Amino acid sequence: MMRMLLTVVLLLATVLAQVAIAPLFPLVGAVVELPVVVLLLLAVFAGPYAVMIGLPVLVLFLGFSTNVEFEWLVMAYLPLLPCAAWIQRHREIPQTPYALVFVMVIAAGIWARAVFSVVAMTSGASLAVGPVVTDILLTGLVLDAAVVSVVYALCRWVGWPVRSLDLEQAGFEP
Amino acid sequence: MLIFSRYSYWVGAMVALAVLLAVVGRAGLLDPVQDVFLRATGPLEEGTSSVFSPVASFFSDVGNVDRLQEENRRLLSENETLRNQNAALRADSLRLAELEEALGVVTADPSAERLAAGVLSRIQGPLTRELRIDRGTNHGVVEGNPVLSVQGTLIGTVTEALPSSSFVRLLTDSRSSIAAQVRGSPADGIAKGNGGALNFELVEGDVNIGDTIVTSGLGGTYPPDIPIGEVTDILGDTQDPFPTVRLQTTVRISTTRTVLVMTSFTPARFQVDE
Repeated sequence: MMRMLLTVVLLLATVLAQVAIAPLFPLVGAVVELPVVVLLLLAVFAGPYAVMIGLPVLVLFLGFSTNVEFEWLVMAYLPLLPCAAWIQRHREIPQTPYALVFVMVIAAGIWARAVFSVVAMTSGASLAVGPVVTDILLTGLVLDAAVVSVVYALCRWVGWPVRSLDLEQAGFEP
Repeated sequence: MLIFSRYSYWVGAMVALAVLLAVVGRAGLLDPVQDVFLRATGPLEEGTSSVFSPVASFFSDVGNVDRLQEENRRLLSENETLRNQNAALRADSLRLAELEEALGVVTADPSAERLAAGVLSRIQGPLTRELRIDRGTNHGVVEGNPVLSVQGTLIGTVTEALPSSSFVRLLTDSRSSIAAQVRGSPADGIAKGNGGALNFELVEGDVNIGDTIVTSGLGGTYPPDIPIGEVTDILGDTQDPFPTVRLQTTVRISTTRTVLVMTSFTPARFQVDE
């Protein structure tokens, strides 16, 4: 119960930081995608259950704060956990825990920004592929990777163990 | 694919939740909950933002020292010119008021009511730029109200008004397009955001660097003659009939803390809907 409460507080802080702090520190035209960073680190350090419970909470908080429709937020963040688990399960892919985090933050960052670009275009934004790729996608991914790397290094330095994203190993029996 | 089957229950539940929230949200049933949430988190957002704003401004200014010095020199010069013009206009205004009184003429500015609002947060996504302000329907704000800087420059439009706060779509949002014209010239076009900057798509006439672009009032979405920005660059060759024109807004939207909502102006389309 206490862990659940802490997760909710962390996600609320994430949403506040996304709307109150991240836009103050843009790189070219992009801002860091903190929900992706936090969900990924939550999965790696707190286990998949934390994300399974936390995602709907995050979607609610973020939907209220940014006025983006809930279904788009679910679409943007839902694939992160199963995809990370799939990569982790395929042992034939050479990987370290940090490599998994790095690859996933890039993949999830691309996916989330692509979804939000489509949302903007469906409500009237004109498509400009060049600026979207250079000013939003690439610079945004650099920010995401920088933030996730720093926080990951801090968490490992503190001594937090990396957890498995596999539900079976995490004790889940469907 | 085994891993997906293990997550399939949760994925299915999330999709169902998304559908439910989409339906409930569109029906407006979550608006009161959203308002309560925003009331509760508003002070936190404002406090957090005000702590980090000076830090962000410092880093932004350090990277632009040369440009800021040049801008400062230009603004000092402009300031002197404008002070002189202002003095002349004040005299003209007094004279006009005297004449109106003598003739019994009453002029009413339909855009006179401007409500000051504080910026609670900035919402920046790919191609989108929005603000959340601390005034809503309880204070007379409605969807479609134009939003100005304290100096009177247009910065956006209210897209959703909740009881105690509202969302404002900025001019630089790529979904934003405004019927505009060159001040003092018949040239007109459309000012469009591109997710960070502002362009002017010329439809008819000529435009030069330094021209001021204002709202034209066409379409009834905005009142006429509200300043939008100044032409800073014209891309394309001289034969190009439709060059891309870059605009610079005279207000720093990224650090704006207070805005004015024109509560007395409702766009024509909203009036028809009502």
